[in-house]
Parts: sequence; structure tokens; C-alpha cells
Amino acid sequence: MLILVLAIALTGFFLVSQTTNQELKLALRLATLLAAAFISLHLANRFFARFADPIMLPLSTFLCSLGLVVIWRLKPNLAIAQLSWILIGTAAALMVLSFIRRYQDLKNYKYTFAIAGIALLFAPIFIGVEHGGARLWIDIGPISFQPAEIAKILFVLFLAAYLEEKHELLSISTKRVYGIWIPEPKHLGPLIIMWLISLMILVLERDLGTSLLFFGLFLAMLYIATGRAIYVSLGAFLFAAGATICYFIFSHVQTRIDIWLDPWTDPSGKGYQIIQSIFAISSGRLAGTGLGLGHPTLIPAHQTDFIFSAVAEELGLLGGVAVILSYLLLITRGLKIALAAKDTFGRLVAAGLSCVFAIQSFLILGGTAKLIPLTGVTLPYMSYGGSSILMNFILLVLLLLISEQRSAPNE
Amino acid sequence: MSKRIGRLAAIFTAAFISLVINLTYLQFIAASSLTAKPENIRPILYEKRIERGKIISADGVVLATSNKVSDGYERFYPEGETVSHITGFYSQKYGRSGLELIYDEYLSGQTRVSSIPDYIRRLLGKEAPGNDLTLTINMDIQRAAMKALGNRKGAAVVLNPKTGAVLALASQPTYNPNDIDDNWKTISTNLDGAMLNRALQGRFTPGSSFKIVTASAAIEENLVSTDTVFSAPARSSVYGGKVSNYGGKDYGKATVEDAFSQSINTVFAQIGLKLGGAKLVDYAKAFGLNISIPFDLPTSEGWIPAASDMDKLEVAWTAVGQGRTLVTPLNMALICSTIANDGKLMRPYLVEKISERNGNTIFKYRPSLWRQPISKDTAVIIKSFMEKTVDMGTGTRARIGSIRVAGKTGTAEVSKKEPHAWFVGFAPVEDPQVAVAVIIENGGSGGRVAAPIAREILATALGKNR
Repeated sequence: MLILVLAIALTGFFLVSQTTNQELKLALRLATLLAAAFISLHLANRFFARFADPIMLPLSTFLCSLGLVVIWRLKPNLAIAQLSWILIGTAAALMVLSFIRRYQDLKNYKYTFAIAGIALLFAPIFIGVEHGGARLWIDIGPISFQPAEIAKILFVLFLAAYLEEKHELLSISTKRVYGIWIPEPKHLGPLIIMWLISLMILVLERDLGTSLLFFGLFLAMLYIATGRAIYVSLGAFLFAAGATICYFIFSHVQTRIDIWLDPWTDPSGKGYQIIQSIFAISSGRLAGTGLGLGHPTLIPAHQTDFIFSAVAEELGLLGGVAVILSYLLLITRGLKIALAAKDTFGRLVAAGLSCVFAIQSFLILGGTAKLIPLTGVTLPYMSYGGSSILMNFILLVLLLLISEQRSAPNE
Repeated sequence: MSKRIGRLAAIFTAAFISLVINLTYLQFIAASSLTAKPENIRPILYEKRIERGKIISADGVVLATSNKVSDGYERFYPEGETVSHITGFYSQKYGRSGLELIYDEYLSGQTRVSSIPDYIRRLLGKEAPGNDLTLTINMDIQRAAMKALGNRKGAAVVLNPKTGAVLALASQPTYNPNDIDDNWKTISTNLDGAMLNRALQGRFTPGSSFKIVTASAAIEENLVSTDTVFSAPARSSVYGGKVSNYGGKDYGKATVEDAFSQSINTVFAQIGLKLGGAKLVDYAKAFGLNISIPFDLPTSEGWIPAASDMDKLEVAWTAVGQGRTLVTPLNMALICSTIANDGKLMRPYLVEKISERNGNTIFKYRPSLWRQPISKDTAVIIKSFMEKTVDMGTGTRARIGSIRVAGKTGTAEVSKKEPHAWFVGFAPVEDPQVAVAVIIENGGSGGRVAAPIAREILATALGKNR
């Protein structure tokens, strides 16, 4: 399966080098390094986690390679950087694989994770750099990274540990008022805190996507842990209320929504990006224009948030659906790992990581295709971006580790 | 907890399926309307990537070609304004015109994927260039015609009367198709109509050149013969109006032949009345008026009023070539070549063949008869009239040494301005190779102004000018 995926990637490199008149040699070098990285990760996986899920690694390899091919086609000089990040990502994944023998140990660091996560989340507010109207990046020397990418994994780990301890408490100690389960006010604390954190991201970092991602993740995990729909509805209501207020108070949120509702009022200004994106997608038709033969570079941010539009243009509906289904498959495999996990912590971590994955990819896939308002998050594995690639590899390895313990024969 | 994870999986699946549905909507249902949006510049960009076919003259001169530039191809017209009314222009900003517009499908080569190797070629970005057009235009004649018109407003159409092949299509003023993007405003708002192809779309009063039609009709109908004599006063009264000769000349008595070669209006008024409005209109239509001429470029229809709309005075003037009748230079060239070709009007054409870059011919024109308004006998008689016109009549300035030239002048009176100068003719009489129609707008007398231009063109076409 991995070999098949790598063959697809090689074909992609070949086509791009033909259509954009770039050196085939460089393409081969990129492809070789990519293949080496994934094959070593695959071997390590076989070695350290022999019983881990067999589908997830080839799937993410597919998305990663496709992403690299498309980035090379869009911005050739970024391909090497992206490949380095993929190599760093696989190295980090190897390290995680070999060091963490029992993921349950991670539970002990839950408050460290929480504090580190919050610190990372809010760091950009104080020392961050603004890109495209959102303060999400921190510059360290030449590298600029998005701390939220790291924070989301830490958050999942913390929440899973926290909810494992408290889920019974949260789900049992409720009163029944008029046939509806009402939780004790004191247990609402975490919910309120989370709500505030999300709104703060929205307001201070001006990032609707990350805000939605964190809150959605929190609600999903809370629901899985407690099974109380009341939390979810209350949380959703609170967030909706908060977001509505933001809509009226903050112009950037309002602009986002208005553009989504009708981008044609300002096609060369505010609506430009989304209009160019749907033009790109629509020109793909069934089989696409062919790699390197479309014009996805007309879309601003085509190599990051809008990489899917480029895929849909050049590989058409077939390529687009393949990518969407690959994500769905990754997510369902993740949830399957959660189902099969031996302990509640593992179950919650796996479900949480799958949720991160699902929410994030849905937000950006739907956003670029104007199904939902556009929120600037990266497309896991495919978008150009160091922190995104790195953390998604770690996310993948954590899932693999959990799946390994599930299926490993009892010692 | 398992049930809840399952539910979550169902929600995510539903969400992702909605993504697929939305994608299908965008790429199939909404795709065409999105492509058509003016904000979408992709269609233009795609075209720029394809090497458009060349347009080549019959004698192998490249008239339009595509040069490789950094981001695709750029259209270039080596002959510039000399052929712009034929090639038209091709612009990303302002669209296209002329052959660039009419033959766009062939020039751009925008065909569907036909085979697996074709599909692979496309994937590799090596699409076949568009198809090349080879025209009937002869650049020597075209250049001579444009030069002979000079800076006067006017047009010339040169045909091979035997095939209908258009050898030259000149119209002045003109524009340089290479300058469209830079000088659009100046070119498109030119008061003299630089973008108007007068040869095909300019409609003018035919003046005496129309007497070819009147004479053909009268002879075909056996109403007159070559030596039927008419009175030819300077002016005559017709049903409450007057018909007068050009320059107010009194000829006493004249035969039909003399009336033709001297262009005597008072005689043709009588012939017209003898013929009657209905017959006159029928013959005009048979010669190609009031009908859209099948051609490779857009043409205007010549026009003659319905017989029922004309009183006798107007019939008389129409027979002379004045009145409300309007013709294009192409109309007159076709009328003239019908006489040259013994009464057979060949369908005019401009595109000789269409071929793929590898030489494979995908279309080759075969000359075809469009209509036959008069018999060969009549045509032979009119031919002799026309030869006499050049020999000793109003068209002497079209004489070319020993070559037998036939022709007819026209001086079309228009209100308040100088008359339009017309000359139509062909040569050599014994075996016509070239037919020509020339008009100079408000140029004056046809014999003085248009005949010498026609002479230049005919001489060049027959190789007597090199």
C-alpha cells in the first residue's frame, strides 16, 4: 500500500516537472527523500508498534506526498522547506515511537500540558506576528510557527486525562429539573473556562478557525466522556451567543460572514480570495486540468489554506473526492482506534485527536469550497507549514501507539 | 462511550459527504456559469497557453502567427494593417474579430480529447497547436490594392471570377492589429471607421456601375439588343420628375451599346421603365442583392427597394443606379465576375484550406456555383459593352497596354458631398482571370478616380506591374 502511494507521488512529480518545465532531477531527489522518510517511518512502526493500525500511515503518506507535489508545483522554492519539515516530522514521530512505550504515562503530565497549552495559545497575543489579519504566529529566528498547532495536541492529552478522572462525576451528579438533566453549577466551571478561552482566541488573536476548533474539540470530548447532551447544547449555545456578539462588535468577523453570504458584492476586494477559490475548483470538472496546467496560483494563500482548491482544479472531482475520502477514512480509523482502546484515557485521546483532525479538515475543506464561512486553518498534512506538518505527525504516531496496545496480544 | 463515539463518527461522515456533494455541485452544476463570470480570467489564460494556428496567404506569406513569450503565446501580425480587415485582431482584453473570430474554433484547436495518447499529451502539457488557415489572398495584389487606395476612404475587392476565390480584400482606413491593446481607444473611436471593413460591410449607392444589372436584365428578357436605338437627351421628364445625364451632356440618339459605354442615364431610364420595377428587382436579387452572401467573414446585405415601393420615377432612377439601392463592394465584384464568368456567379470564399501543424489537411474548399442570374449569351454581350467602355467609353483610364480589359464606371451622386467613385472590371476579356470592384468614398468621378486604381490592381494581378 505504501509502495502504491509512493508510486502515485512519483507520477505526480513527473507530471509537474513536465508541465512546469522544472528539473526532473530535483523532482527525483525530492521523491527519493520523501520515500526514504516514509519507508523508515513505516519500518520503525513495524518494529516498535507491530500491531498498530496498518492503514493510517499509508493514508497520511498519500496526503503528505500529494501536498508536497502540489506545493512544488505552486511554489517550487517552498518544496524543499516543506520536505525538510516532513523529514523533521518523521524524525519526531520516530522519537515519539521509540520513547513513549506506554502512552498512559502521559497522564502524569496533564497539568504541565494544560499550562503549556494555554501559554502557547496565548503567546502570540504578546509576542506574535500578524499574518493576514490573524495573530497566530511566533517568529523564532527564520522559522515562524503556529503555537496553536502544538497546543491542540497538548489540549487533547490534558482533557483526556482530566475527563478520565472526572467523567463519572460530571455525568452522575446532576439534578433533574422538569425532565432535563441539569449539572451542578460547580461542575460547569471547566465549560465556562473553555468558553472564555475560545472567545479570547477569537477576540485577541482574531482567529475564528482556531477558536472553533478548540471549542468544538472540547464539546466533542465532553460529550464522549459524559454522554450529557446538555453540555453540548449549553456549550454550543454559549459559543453561538458569544460568536453572535462578536459578529456585531468586531468588523473582521462580520466581514468573514458577509463574504461567505455574498462574495460577489466585492469580487476584486474582500471576496477575491473565495471567488478565485471557487473559480479554481469549478474549472477542475471531472478529471481536472492536469497537474501544473491549471491556474491555482491566482488564489491568495494557495500553498497553505487553499491547497485543496489547487488539488480540485488540477485533479478535478476525482482528485478532490479522493482527498476528502482519505481524510474521512483517517478520521474513522482514528475513532475506531478509540473504540478499541483498552482504557478510558486512550479512548479519549484517540477520539480527541480524531476530532481535531475532523474539525480542522472540515473547516478548511468546507471553507475553501464556500460550504461554510472561511476560517483560516491549515489542511492537515497537505498545507505548507512547519508546525502543522510536525504536529500532525506526532498526532498520527500517538494514534498508532494507542492502536498498538489495543491489538497487541496480552502480555 | 462506544455508542457516543459511533454517533460522532456518523456526524463526521455526514459532514464529509456534504463536502463531496458541494464539490460535485461546484465542479459540475455550477461550473459553466462560474466559468462564464467576467471576473474569471481562466478561459483567457488557458487560451494563452495554446499556440494558436497561423493564418497564411495563398502565396505563403504569414499574416498572423503566435510567438512564444514567458507566460504563453502572443499573437503577432507580420503584415500589420495591410491585412487587418481580413485577419481581424485577437486580444485578451478586447476579444477578437475577423477570421480570428469566425475561425476561432480551428485556430485555437479547442477540441475534445480524442484518444488516450492525446490525453497523455494533455496531461504533460503538450497540447497540439491550433490549426493553420491558408487563404486565397495573394499578398502582391493585396498590397497593391491597399497602396492604390492610399489614404483615401475606400475599398477594393478582387476575385477570381472562375472560382470565387477572393484574391484581395482592401479597405481604407485601416488599423494595426498589433496595436489593439495599446491603442484601443484611438482605433475603436476613429471617426472614419478604421475598424469597418468597407469591402464587405460598407453599403453605398452603386451609381452607373449598376447599369450592368439593368442591361443584363433587358437583354436577357429580349427587350433590347445591342443596337436598339434610344433618344438620348441631356434630360428627360419621367412621371413628374426628371432624369438627367452626368455633366448634363446631350447625346442626341444612342444605341444600347453606346448608352452603356458612355453611361447615358436618359437611355437607361427608358430601358428601366421598359423592364419594369418587378423585373429589375428580380434581377438585382438574382445578382446577390437582398440576400446574405455566404462568406467566411461577416458581410452586409445589398439592398434594393421592393418593386411595389417604387413609383415609375424611382424605377427609372434605380435602373440608372441612383435611388435608394445600396450595394457593398463585394456585391459589385460578384456582379462583375458573373459577367466575366459567362453568367455563373461563383460562391465567394477566402479560406482555401485548414490544416493541422503536422501538415494533415482537415478542410479543403472546392469552388461551387452560387447562382446563375443570366445566360452565357447575355453575359457575352455585356462583356463586349464593358470592353468598349474601357476602350473608348468612360473607363479608358483602366486600359493596360495590349491586355483586353472590360469595365464599367460609376459616379454615385450622394447628397451634399462629392459623388462616390466606382469602377468594376475584369481582364483579360478572352479568358478572365481577375475581377475587381473599387470604390472611393466621395472621391469624385468613377472614370477619373476609381478606374486608375482598378488598373493598378488588374495590372499587378496579371503580372504586368513587376
